[in-house]
Amino acid sequence: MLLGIKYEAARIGDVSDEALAGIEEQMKEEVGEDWESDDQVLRGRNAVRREHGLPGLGEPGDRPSPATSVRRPLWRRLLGR
Amino acid sequence: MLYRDFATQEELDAQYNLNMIFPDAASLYEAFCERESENVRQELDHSLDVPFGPTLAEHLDLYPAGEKAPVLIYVHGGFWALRTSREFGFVARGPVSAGAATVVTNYALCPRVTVDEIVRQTRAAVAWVYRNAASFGGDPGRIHVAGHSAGGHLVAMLLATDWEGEYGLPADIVKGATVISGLFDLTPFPYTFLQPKLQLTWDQVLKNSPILHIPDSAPPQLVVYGEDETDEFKRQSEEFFEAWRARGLEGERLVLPGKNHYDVIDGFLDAGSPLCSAVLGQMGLE
Repeated sequence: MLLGIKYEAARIGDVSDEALAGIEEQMKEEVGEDWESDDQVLRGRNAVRREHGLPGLGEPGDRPSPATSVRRPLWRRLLGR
Repeated sequence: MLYRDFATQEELDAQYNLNMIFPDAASLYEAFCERESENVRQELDHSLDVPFGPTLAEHLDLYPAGEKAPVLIYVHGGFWALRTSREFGFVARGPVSAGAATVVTNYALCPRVTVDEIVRQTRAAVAWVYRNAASFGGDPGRIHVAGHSAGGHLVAMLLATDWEGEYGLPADIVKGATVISGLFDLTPFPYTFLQPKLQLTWDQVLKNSPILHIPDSAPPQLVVYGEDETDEFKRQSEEFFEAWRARGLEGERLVLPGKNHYDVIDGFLDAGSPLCSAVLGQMGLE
């Protein structure tokens, strides 16, 4: 989680590309190549993003808005509610 | 030069005199600390002014978090000459909500006492917590320490303590540390606006500069500072972190974007904030 916090803090802050690349390398070493989708890393990154009023990664607002006619959940459709 | 590239006291004060740098911030910060600490005391169980030593200033404030809770000891800042534990009760909210008992230590202030004595009192507070943790539900085997500014300095001095030889306590009494915007090299301060209060001698400067006393073994340390701090505050943390890592010790550096020397500790109010998450993560409370 700390690595996620550190990474997002550096990304939002005014650090050099070199420093950011250094943290990415550390992520790869300690978390693995798929660090970007690691839950703990995402939690850390989202802690920083929330503090700065940014949408969370993997949460609504981080991706294109869904269509306005949101499809009702399956259980509602099945039960007719 | 007086110190590094600083030729005059004015130049040094421009880096360290926060009243000069942020004219209104000190009073706003003071009001924030008092208000939020009072709010937190309305919310949480607590015991104030628990004595841990023989002198009047040696007392601490306890914010329990149930039985067998890990303990976070917080050491406040104020250039060794300002503030009390009472104003920093707010730091307990985030940790207690996540299950960490929080202890805010008090200490006598300069010039009534020397920095030597403040270091001694802070060490005594940690020894008291270890011996009395069970009385407030704390686990003496999971003591972590955190401090801000001068409190960061005092935490770094805790890490340079011979707990076994001087106190008869386990050498690894402290399991993790967080130093926030700390002051680790006291060399500039005899040349600054602080000297009338601190009355530092060179012997004290050398003895109490943690960057000159990096231990051979130590718990993991988190070095935190705000992106909007002055260059000297940043340098103090950066050089201490580099010295720590150069000794082969475990540590991480965290630079919090948009934070200045005051609001860098606000995160303790919320367990989910970047600062508090990092501290709690170190304590195994993610």
